[in-house]
Amino acid sequence: MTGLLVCGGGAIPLVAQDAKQQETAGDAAQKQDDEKPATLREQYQTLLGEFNKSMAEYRQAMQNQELTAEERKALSEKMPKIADYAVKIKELIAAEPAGDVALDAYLFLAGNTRNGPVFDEAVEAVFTHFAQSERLADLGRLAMIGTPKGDALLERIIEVTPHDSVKGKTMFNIANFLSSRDDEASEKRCLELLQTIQDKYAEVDMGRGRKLGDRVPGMLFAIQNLKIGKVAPDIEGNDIDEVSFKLSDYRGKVVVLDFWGDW
Amino acid sequence: MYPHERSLVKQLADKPFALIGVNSDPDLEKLRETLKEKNLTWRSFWNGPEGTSGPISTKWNVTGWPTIYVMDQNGVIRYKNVRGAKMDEAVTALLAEMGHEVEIKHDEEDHD
Repeated sequence: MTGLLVCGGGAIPLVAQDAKQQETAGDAAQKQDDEKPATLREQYQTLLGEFNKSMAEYRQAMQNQELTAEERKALSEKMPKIADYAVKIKELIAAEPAGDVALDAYLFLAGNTRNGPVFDEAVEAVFTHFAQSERLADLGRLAMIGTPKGDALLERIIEVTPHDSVKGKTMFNIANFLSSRDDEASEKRCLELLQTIQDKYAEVDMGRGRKLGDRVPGMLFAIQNLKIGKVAPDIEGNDIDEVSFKLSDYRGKVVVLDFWGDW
Repeated sequence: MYPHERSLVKQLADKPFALIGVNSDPDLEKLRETLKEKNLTWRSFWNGPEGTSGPISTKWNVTGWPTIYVMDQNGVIRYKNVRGAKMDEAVTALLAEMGHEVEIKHDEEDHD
């Protein structure tokens, strides 16, 4: 058994399972060479492990408060570059550009860049090889919503996906973003999206027994009642001493309403 | 956030101003201790044992914490998600509309 533990394809640090000694990712790869050829998945995890390790070391080094400005600058030039790893990762997955490992890799690269050439290339690769995958929704979560490019990416996902779940979830993400804006065009588009979600995608499973349609009434309420310029809906509830009161008890005063938690 | 809000509440104690919380901690006993410990004097609705999935935050479609609304004396929503100095500016402007000129100042340690 080598010291590799694969955790759901995310950027999870490698965990050494060998009881005798903690192995680094490099050692693990070396040891694998002695046994049998590493699978593509293992090689990919090794690369991710190297990246995560070098990033962790870099962050730790930068935390040193005693660094002079010059030392800090010199150090910052040595920051591990995602572009360098992108080259290695692309070489690795070239053998199976449409395989599971490749999809994880593209999403990792897109998620660690969010913009720029590495992001664009990863996005194109996902559309080329995985347009039919339900995980297109994961790509949608990495889009910078509210920017022309991010919005175009989301529209493209909705257009190409054959899956109701991907369409519905992506539309909901857009609607959620639009619901926080106060201009009329955003409101109109948001209402259109919510109507479509209600009509066509209400049954999409959101996990934990919830459906996408369950989220619609809350957002409609927010659009209709929680915009700037609307009279705040009343709240009636108990305070922490279990004494009932209402938000409207405070009419005549300027009120800051703060949804908070001590966590 | 506590020092800033504590300072705001203290400075505006004699003004027509209220800071009202909607607290989403699921454990009421623990919350009571926290309030005492941190000397948080403003009144909060409790969102119930479901925590962040409780009825008030669900109705208000709150998906991020903190979420902040600022209402004028007529209960009209005038600002959203203003924090720190922005919250001070919002409150100052709304109090000015009511004829109360205030200048909100915080000690260094009151900043977020």
